[in-house]
Amino acid sequence: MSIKAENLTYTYMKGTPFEATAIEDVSFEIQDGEFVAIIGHTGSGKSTLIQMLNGLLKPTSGRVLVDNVAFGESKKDLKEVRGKVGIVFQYPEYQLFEETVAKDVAFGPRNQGVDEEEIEKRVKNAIEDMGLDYEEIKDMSPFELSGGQKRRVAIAGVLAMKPQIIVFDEPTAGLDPKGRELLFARIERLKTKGKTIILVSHSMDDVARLADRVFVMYNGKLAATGTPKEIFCEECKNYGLYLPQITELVTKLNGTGKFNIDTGVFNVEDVVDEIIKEMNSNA
Amino acid sequence: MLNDITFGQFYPSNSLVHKMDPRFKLVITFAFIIVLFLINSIPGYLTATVFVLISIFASRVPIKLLAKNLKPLWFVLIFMFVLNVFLTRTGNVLLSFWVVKITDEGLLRAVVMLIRLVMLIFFTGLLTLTTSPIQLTVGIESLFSPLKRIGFPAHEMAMMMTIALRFIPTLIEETDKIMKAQMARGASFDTGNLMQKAKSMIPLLIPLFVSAFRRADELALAMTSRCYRGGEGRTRMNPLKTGAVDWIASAVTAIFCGLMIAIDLIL
Repeated sequence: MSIKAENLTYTYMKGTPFEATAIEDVSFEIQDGEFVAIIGHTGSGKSTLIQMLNGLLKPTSGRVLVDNVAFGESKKDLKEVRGKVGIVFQYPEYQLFEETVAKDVAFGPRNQGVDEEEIEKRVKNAIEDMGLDYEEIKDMSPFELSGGQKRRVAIAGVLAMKPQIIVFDEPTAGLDPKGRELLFARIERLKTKGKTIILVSHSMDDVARLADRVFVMYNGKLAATGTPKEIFCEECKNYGLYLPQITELVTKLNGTGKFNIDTGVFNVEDVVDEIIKEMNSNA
Repeated sequence: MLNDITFGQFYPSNSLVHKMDPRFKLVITFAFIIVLFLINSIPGYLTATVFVLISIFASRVPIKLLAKNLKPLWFVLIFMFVLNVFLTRTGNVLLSFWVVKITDEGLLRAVVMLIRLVMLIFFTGLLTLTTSPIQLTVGIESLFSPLKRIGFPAHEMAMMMTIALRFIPTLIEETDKIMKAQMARGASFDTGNLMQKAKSMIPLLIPLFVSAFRRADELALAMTSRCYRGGEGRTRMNPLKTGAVDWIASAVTAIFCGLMIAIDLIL
């Protein structure tokens, strides 16, 4: 499912002395099945932007089109768009509340008015999509789970609504390296299943490795868009961002004049292969 | 959504009233309110009004900001006024039709009541506008500390107030976050009858409670690891200081209060 933003502007506390424009004239289009990462330093407007994508915040001006349809403010419209565009907020485990994992995951689809049989199926699928054992945890209290498990159950709660577009706001914040790897693998799998993914992240390394396209937010504006290779060059430092470690290394190696490695490769193994190959040919 | 709420109404400035010792401000406010309820005549209230206006002028708080406090109470004010006008049966009848009788005494009582309430709201508003919540708490703690001898937990009470005040914005932010997360999962907090509305609060309240307890636990740990052990022997970074302005303000208040009572008794 595609999603399009047209001239989005958002102003907090309009008409008061505290008025502040968080988003200014942002337009973009994300195609069906694309993996887009949004980067930008704290306060650049990323969170405000994603909240407008499913109507949690109403843009001060401009509009959002999901699957080429604009949505209004009516209850019906909002319900529909929230079924299409799922948002996984930062630290989603803090939104768990039910007695059992299965009930918590079922909260979303139940609000959508899905029938019980279908709910059970969706809950099972969503929990398994997150790499957890449905039978083992379905009757456990969400508060008994480990941190990483809680996080994945909370994400399953969003997946169970079957959104075609899923927005992840810093999904791996506070997870250990293993938990990160696991979660990113699951997110990549969602992409192969045809979901459109929007990832908000501070980790340039992850963004470079995973995203098809990168949006750079700077002072409430969409400052740059492009493939990771286009975005991660010296210029990106102007936006207060840094290069992925691997690109930093490749750039420095290329700078010595002895190497000529493609800066569009972000996979460590591939870069290692390249380096070995060039070292052999240099020798 | 919820971030449109600005909590506390402290208005930062450098005026004389702002610089006053919060203990004096508390006592002065308390004394003025008592006198305000003792007096009964229009001239007495005019004197009170003059005093309030002088205080507002000295505090450099825009009067508009103070008037804002009247907004949520305008209904009560009008209700009281109307009630006093129509239900007072004593005094000379000024106007009478059908069962309604308006007397001069009723009108007087209504006006007096109105001025009394407006002055009350203005003066207490001035206290919270010129004193930060932390200062207020410090002041209250200090005023109550003589009661420590009979076992009153003055320090603990003040610490609890400080923590509560400190966490209000945090909890508002947290509520906003959880609300949005649940709304993204299709929850709605404003539909259905009262029962359904109450039920729809569960997905908000449970995470909020869980997080409040977690925060309380973390805070307790952080305080303990910095050797907090109650008020015993504890000193302040900014000890309360009483200066000339506090005594002058007290003297002015005393004079005005005396004046108000005297005028009230004579007239």
